Amino acid sequence: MNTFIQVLVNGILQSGTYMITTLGLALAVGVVGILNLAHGEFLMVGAFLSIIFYTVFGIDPLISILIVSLLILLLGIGTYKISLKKVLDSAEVNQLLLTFGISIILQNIAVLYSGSKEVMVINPPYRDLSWNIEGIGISFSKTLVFIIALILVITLFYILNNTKVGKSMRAVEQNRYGAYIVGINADRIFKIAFGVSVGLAGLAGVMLSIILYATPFIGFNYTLKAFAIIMMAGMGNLRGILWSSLILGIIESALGTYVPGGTGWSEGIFFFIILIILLVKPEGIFKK
Amino acid sequence: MLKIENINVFYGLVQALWDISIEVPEGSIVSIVGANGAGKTTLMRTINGIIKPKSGKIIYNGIDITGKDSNYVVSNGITHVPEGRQIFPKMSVYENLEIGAMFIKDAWEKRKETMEFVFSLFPRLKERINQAAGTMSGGEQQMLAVARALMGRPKLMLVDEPSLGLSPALTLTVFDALKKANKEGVTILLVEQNVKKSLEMAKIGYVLENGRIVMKDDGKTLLANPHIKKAYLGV
Repeated sequence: MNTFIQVLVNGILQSGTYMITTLGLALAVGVVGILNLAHGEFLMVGAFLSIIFYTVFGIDPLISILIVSLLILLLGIGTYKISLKKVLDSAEVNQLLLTFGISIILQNIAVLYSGSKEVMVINPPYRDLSWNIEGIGISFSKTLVFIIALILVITLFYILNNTKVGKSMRAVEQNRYGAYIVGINADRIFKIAFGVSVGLAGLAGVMLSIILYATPFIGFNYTLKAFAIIMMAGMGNLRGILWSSLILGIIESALGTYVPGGTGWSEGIFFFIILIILLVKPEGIFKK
Repeated sequence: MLKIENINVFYGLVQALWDISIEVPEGSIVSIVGANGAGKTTLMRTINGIIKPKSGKIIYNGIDITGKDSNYVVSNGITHVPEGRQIFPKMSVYENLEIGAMFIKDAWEKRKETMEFVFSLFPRLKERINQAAGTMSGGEQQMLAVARALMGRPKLMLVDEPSLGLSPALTLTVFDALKKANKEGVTILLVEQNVKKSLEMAKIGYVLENGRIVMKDDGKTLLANPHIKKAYLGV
């Protein structure tokens, strides 16, 4: 019984990582319709900045998180203004090519800084902190990731449904021409959405720097997984991202515990589930 | 209220509008009739700021709005019932209406009141207030498009083919709503394939052919014109 509860707890906490890494991309892809293949690289830059702030200036990630998110948000707005803006009205493959290019640039900047082999890890004092409740271990930092992810999902959900800027974002995605007609400044909305989207990626990067490690190449895997979770949830469906992350997190954790050598399978199973869902219900399982 | 002076509009190298001049007096209904492809929708989009003219001027209440972006034009009180409705399909009727008032300061403050008014014109929309707009019938979506434009408490409303694809009964409802809105002080520039109906209610009518204005007169006189009768009314 204890093992089962432990599996559940680990799975739920793991889902926090999925949520936090997916949320920003869900805003770009699912809500306003910008395909960003560099999402994971913005996340990686966030993790790098967090590590640099910690090792060079001695600033704890939980403090630098605000600065880093803001810096990456500004980086996103700059990227939008210089490049992305110009391809939004052309075929979607141009967005893919452009953001793929950006991902390579960011990767190489990171390689210039750290070299290609070094794995960067930081050890803030709470990194390995965990509670033990009735024999169930609960990691502090992972709980923190989970709680922050949950707060962000709920906040974003609220903003999209209750504020002018949120409604404008949904309007722009549903009918670009209709959005112009009611007087929405679509350019401004895309700029804000993309900025916030990569800002959230940066924030996720800081949180991941606490529980995992960073290399210049961690990004692509996160982009891939985030796209997969968005497909599973259904485009533009934030609640679906919550449930999809939970399901994937728990399956992954169960696999690692109950199947011998199961952790090695977790990536394979992850994409296998997504594949099945795309075959059976291509609009996403949580699409109303 | 609106004065268009000699505008020329191009799609790439192809000229769509030639030297168009139109005047819309405050409080009136002005109709532009013409065949498909004559440039009616292009003209509407040019006024609204979605297409920029190559030359010419658009003056609205004394301000030059030529080449301004649509969000500027809308915020100054010109709203648009576009061809093909262009509603937000995944938003509720309520949200669609709300968004019609969202970017016009005065309209946003009075949105509750305006919503009562549009519901009095289209009681059907009130019944469907929480329904996703994309799941409604074409006629209901057209009502929503008109209602959304009215939510902006426009001074000038551009109305593009409101009867397209509607049953005669629904067409009547929509035209009645336009007349009522006009009585409340909304100036209307109407583009319509239903030549008879639109010229009947228009103070002034223009005939647009191949991107040029070929005739201008008051609505009733145009209706009696032999060329109009032959080319557009089939009599």
